Amino acid sequence: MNLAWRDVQHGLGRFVLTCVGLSLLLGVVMGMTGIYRGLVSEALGLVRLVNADVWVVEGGKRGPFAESSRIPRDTRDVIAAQSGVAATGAVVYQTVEIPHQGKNLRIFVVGAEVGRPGSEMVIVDGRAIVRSRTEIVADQKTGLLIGERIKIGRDDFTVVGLMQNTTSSGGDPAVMMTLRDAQIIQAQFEPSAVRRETARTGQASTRPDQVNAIVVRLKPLAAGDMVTDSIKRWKHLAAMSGQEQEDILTRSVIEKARRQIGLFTGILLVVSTVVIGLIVYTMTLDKKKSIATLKLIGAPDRTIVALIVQQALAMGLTGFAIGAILIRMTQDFFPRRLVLETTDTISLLGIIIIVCLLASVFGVRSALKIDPASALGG
Amino acid sequence: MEDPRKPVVEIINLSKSFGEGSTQVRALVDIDLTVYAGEVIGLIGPSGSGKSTLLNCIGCITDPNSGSMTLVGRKVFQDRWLVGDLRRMRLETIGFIFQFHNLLPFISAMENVALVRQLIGNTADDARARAMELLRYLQVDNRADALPAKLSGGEAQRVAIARALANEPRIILADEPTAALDSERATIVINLMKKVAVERRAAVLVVTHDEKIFSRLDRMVHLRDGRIVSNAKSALP
Repeated sequence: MNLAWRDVQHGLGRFVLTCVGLSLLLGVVMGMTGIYRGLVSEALGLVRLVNADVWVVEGGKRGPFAESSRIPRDTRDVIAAQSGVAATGAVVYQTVEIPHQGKNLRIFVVGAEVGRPGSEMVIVDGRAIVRSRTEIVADQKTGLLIGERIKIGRDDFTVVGLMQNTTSSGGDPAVMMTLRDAQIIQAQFEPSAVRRETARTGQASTRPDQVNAIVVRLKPLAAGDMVTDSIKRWKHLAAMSGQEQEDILTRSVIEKARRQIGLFTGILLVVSTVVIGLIVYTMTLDKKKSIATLKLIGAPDRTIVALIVQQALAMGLTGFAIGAILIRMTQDFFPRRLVLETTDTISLLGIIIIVCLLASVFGVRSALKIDPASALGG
Repeated sequence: MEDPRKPVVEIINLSKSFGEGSTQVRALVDIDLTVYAGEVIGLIGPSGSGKSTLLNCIGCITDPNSGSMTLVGRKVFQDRWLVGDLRRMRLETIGFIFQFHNLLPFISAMENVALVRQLIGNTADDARARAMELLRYLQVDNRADALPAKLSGGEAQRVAIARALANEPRIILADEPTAALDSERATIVINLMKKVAVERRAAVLVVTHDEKIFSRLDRMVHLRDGRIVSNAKSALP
């Protein structure tokens, strides 16, 4: 017979309540990991979706996501003429707030040339943009519906399609539109000082037909390093590979969050260890008489150690399972995207097993110290 | 055939003290005691007289300081323990009965008894079969599946006796086994112990203050200040 299991059955209500409490703690640990993965996914999602071989931006800048960058749109044609370049596309990125259903909706406007690099999207409902103006494909998280008309800047746009998990590095849901529309919006959302200067001088714009970056797709077997080195020689442009762009985003956007979340996760795991340790210790004290009796009738230490360790593991694993179910059931209700990866879950499971073993050390030590004579009355 | 006068417990000059120097307490002083198979011995005396310490020494729970102790023909103590695994020694040789039954609360009456058989190395099925046999012997088999909390005091004590017998011990040590029982149930329990002692050729040592059972004891060993002051057949009717 398994004494640990029988003891659990005997105090099932208390065990379940303890596990539920523990599951909330472990659910938060899983949630923290999920938030971190979500941050990474959101920060790198668009970069990975575009999957550029080379990003070309304003000289001295680190790209359209980490820093603002403006270059003339015709740079695209100059770069397209480079050896090894298969295709190029100009893109505009801009975060704006628009009124929607009585609230402010913060969106990440992505302007790209349809059919060119930078215009990639995964449409889950509706269709792609086919008209040159005022059509958008919105991320589902915007809450926009197909057919809905919405004012961005001074123009009304029609939602023709919905996409999924396309956000800015800050988590704002993306809205894809034509490059032309995005350029107009960018001009409309320019700082008022710039707009005043434009009005004063009577010129339409001091920087006409500008974009934020050029997305470059290379020919098969083309050397990316050679292309970037060649572009970098032009002083007014900077070029970086797709991997370098990801590294920049990781360092500038994710690194602090990673440390912060890692710290909280570590603290929560320590708290979990202490909590499990205290529960196991208390459970051991509750069984002091039974353990003394077991020792007295000749039960070996391994029977007593197994009783405590198995209960600690049962509690940790049950708490983990309930926590995992809870977090999966509620993940869609979190304001930031939670990405729960199987490898993280398995790693956490391994950590929980170690935590349970560590936590049961106090209980085991106290159990092994119990004097069998204490089972005798008087 | 076994010699009926062969001692099961043989203690010579056993001493035990607690503390040191001016705070030293001599719990047992030069105890000589022999208990034979089939005997039910009462250890009596006032509180602090050393009867529980003597029971603990015989039960291999407390280390004596000096003297010698032979259990079931095997010398286990000669100024130091001569047995490496005292817990195994207890499991194979000694049965314990407590004042408050001390059954594990989270397993059934039958499982409490079967656990000892499993610890010895029996398979689960064999252990259960043997446990049921013992519960039948003690006429409490109808409560086999009940948890200890659901048993009456008398039933629980009979299950505790069944557990004490599960390892077929040659020595049964009982600490105030009838203290929590009324006189009718106390008589049943002591009669059971006597029956066990005779039928299973076991030596039973009972620490007790319960005068109700004095008449059922074969011998009463009276302790005072750690010494045996009398060791005689029960004088009560």
